[in-house]
Amino acid sequence: MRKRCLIGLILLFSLSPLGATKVALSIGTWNLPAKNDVVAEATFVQTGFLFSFARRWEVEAFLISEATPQVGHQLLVGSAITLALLGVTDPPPEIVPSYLNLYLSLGFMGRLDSLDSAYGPFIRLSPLAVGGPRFKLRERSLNFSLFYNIPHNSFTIFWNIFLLDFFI
Amino acid sequence: MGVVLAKRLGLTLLLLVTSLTLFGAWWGGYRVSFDGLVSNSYSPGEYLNLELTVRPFYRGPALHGGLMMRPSEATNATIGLSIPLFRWIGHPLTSLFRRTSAYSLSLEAALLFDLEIPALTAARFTVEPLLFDFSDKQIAVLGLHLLYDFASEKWGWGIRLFEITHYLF
Repeated sequence: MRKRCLIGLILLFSLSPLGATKVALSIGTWNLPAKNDVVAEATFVQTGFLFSFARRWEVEAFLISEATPQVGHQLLVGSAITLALLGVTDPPPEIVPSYLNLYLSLGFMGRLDSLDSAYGPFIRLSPLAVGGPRFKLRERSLNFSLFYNIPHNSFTIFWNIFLLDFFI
Repeated sequence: MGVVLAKRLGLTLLLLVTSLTLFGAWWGGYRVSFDGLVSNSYSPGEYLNLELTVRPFYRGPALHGGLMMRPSEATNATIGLSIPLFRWIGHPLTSLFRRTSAYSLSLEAALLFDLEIPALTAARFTVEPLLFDFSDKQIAVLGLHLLYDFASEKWGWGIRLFEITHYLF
């Protein structure tokens, strides 16, 4: 009984930083080389939400949907955990936040419409991110990712030229 | 004769640009956008637009000119005119932005020229229902294109995935 109470208290304390989380909605472009084994050639939109559970850490979930020529014909879902490398994203109110940051993400994504065709881990670098929770808007530019496609045993790069995060 | 004409043209342009700097606010800059087009003359992939923009009057139309590009495809030159229908400063999404912003809906008409042939390829009509104006910067997402392909004489469509206009002057 005492062990259960102790474990419960530890869990409560470890979850308390969630009270300081920031939530954001994101939207942006997603693209990859024309010749790839992930998706057929098309244009795509990436939308999702993310929340920061610690000063430098964020968790993100996203959906990538074909926009043209057939809206929603190809769908991918994914999630990632992100670390801010140049500074904390949301410091205490008395500290001025850094406007510029660099993010490194590790995640997993896969085709939703065709579960066996493409899925696997990816690593993403966002070298030019301006803004943040205090500024209500963050622009992550020139995001590049390396994706390992498990079914095909191959690597593919993809990129988001712009990702806009709206903190709510 | 040619030298005299060139001098007069240069002087006229100089006077025009000077007058814009005296009376216009945020009148010139560049625009970057990403399009997906569904038409016989264009492939399914993403097109990058790089354009210069001039807007002599703050609430007036803007003239855009530049290039539409995609790797291993002919580059298109673009020229167009856009106009915002209204500017709504106290819009419901104000809380999403730290800076003062105005919500706007913009209409645009543009011509696309294939530079390799060269020939007039298409006419593009664009509605941008999600445009946010931050004075020196405008951001628009998910605009809609209506495209008339002159080669096949058929109508097509497209989506402007993302557009950012940055006024420098």
